[in-house]
Amino acid sequence: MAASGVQLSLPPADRAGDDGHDPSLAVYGVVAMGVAAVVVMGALMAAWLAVEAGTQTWPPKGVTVQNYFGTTLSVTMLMSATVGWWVLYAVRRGDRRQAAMALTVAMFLELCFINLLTYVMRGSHLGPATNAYGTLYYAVNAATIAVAASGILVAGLTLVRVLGGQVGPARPQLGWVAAWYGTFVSLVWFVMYTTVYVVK
Amino acid sequence: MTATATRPAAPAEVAAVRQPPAAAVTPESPLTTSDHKRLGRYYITAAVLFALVGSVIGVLLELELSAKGIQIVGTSYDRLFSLHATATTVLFVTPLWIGLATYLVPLQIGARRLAFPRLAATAFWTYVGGGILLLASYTFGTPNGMGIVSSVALAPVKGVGRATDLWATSLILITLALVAAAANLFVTILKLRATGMTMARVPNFTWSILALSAAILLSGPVFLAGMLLVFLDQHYAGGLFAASQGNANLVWQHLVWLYGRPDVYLVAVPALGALSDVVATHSHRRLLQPLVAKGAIFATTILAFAVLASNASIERAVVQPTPSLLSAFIVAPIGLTALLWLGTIRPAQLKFHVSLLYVGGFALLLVAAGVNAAVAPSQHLVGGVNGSAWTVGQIHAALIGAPTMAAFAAVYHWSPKIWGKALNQLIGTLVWLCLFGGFAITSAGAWAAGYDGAPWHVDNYTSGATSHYFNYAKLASVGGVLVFLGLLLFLASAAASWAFARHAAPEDLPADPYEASTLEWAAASPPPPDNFESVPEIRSDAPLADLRARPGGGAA
Repeated sequence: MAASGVQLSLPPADRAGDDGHDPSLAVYGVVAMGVAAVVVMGALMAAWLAVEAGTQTWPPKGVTVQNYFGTTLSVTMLMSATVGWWVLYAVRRGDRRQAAMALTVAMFLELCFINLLTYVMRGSHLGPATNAYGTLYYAVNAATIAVAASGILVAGLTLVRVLGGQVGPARPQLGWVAAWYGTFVSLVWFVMYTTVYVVK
Repeated sequence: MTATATRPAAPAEVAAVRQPPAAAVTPESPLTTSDHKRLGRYYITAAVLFALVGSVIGVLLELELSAKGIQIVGTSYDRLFSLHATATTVLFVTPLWIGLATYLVPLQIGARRLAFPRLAATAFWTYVGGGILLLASYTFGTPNGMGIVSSVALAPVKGVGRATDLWATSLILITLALVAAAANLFVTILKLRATGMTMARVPNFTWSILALSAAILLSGPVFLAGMLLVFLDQHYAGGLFAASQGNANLVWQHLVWLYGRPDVYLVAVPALGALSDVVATHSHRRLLQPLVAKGAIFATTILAFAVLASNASIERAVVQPTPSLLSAFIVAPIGLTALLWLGTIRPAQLKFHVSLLYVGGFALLLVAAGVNAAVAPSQHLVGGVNGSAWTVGQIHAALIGAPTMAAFAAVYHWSPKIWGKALNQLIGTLVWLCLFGGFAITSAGAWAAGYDGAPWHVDNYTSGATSHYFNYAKLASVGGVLVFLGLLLFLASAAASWAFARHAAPEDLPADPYEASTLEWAAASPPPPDNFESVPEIRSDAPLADLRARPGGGAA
């Protein structure tokens, strides 16, 4: 065993393991975040359905689920998802100003969604302390808000990169991320909305 | 051969996109560092410090049982039992592996950093903050979550107070940290491998971390969802987990065990990968059938989830007839990997290294736990396997002891890289004696007490207690003291090596003291901030061996 200080002489490499600015890293990172979000939402949905299956009256007597703003929330999410694809369109055309504007609109719409969903939760007169239904209702809605907030985070990071000139036709990966993550956030909402507000 | 790496010119299209300047290597403060090597060392140190706390509590718990009527922890027994169980399982073994992976994975795949360095730093400090919060929660009272990470059903307690709030919050933070660290490692392995480092060529440790990361990414968020429900339920006393709520308690058990049950077996996954590298390196041979070993590691990961179906801790589990079969299956890939190690070793070529002692300790503790698992059903344990002191022996041998042995094998093997200078082998042998002896004695005491009819989780042996019970508890407490001493000795040894390496001349710190084959040994010891001056060409799973085999490739 050579315990001396002999160093290996290394031939040149084609490239090192990374150049430090590979945009596809962000794609993989956001996918990992999306997987974690899916598992959290899946577990909460499963808990909701399992508790519902074991309870005779669901929702409990006296609980009225407010669905007044359901359509508005859904339309807001649809708009947000569509704007996400507008971001990609602008990025691929190399139009940074349009991409930045679309990202700002996407963030604004997701913020509106969070605001409205919070209002719906407050208006339902259900608290996590009300009963088991209330606890689950709060958990599921809070998780949905967290997913929407992660959408704002992703759009915000993309916006910073767009403004910094690091996203363009040659490196559109973050544009794809903004588009797909916006759609993913919408899908999370529609699954939750159907389970909690429509099917009940 | 020269070591000048030139990058190909960027295509015009890419060049049109403005590139930020190359990241300059600036000194970072210890608190704000995002260097994976520093963070790896921090993880290892923090995990061992948390384990020290856990071991002290374990000794106190056993001393409480060592004589009739003795009062050491008094009415705090339940609280300390829960703290000991939670701290040693959540704050020690898995974070220790994450720490080793944070340090080693970029080096093993030829990367200069982790995929998301700031995320790695955030994850580490979140883990430390969560760990401190977990310890602090028990100073406010007994959180309403007893057992190992609250594996038993939670009763709703109105206004249970700050202890449960802090406890649930701390577990949410720790799980978030682990999921973030796992995601970071997963992306790093997928995206930052050097040219030529195909998945089939990545070292087995890195491969096992890929499997572990994927498993944590899939199971950790389930626990996160469960803890969110627990926090809301306990903080607001909503009554979700009340007995009247039909399936709610069953839901909780599924949520906690979908993370907890695989985790029991998943701690073996990085052990298999790391020990494969350790055995091959000190045998001075390539691992026998490396692809089969990778398949076995992957199979262990998959089966760790399948074993969930055998969980006796879940009431009304729908697949009860299958438990023994699925539990037995997971032994196959673990045993197969051990056979590959045996096939790799040639006694004449084997060079003794203290890490091999730990490999032996890992195998012995696992075999002992396996034998006891086979014997226990015929012994009609009082209270069954979930209510006997025998379970304490199983947990300390298989769940904590064996993975600790494997992790320390890895720590000692890679110590020239981690601390710049190899840890002292003699002290390493003493540490091994303390840790292996400690876990073996603790487990033996608990197994014997269980076979003699002693229950677990009692603060005093009362009716039916024999004098043997007290002797077994004394034996177990001696084991706990040994573990504590071993951990302390290890920290002192690591600090000494680190201090030496900071002032040593480079020629005193060989990059590759073992004539190893994997890429991390191409970096200096300790590695510079960006890891490699240049990454060698990779044409097999043993790039450094390939270099040596070339004419003139051995030395500069």
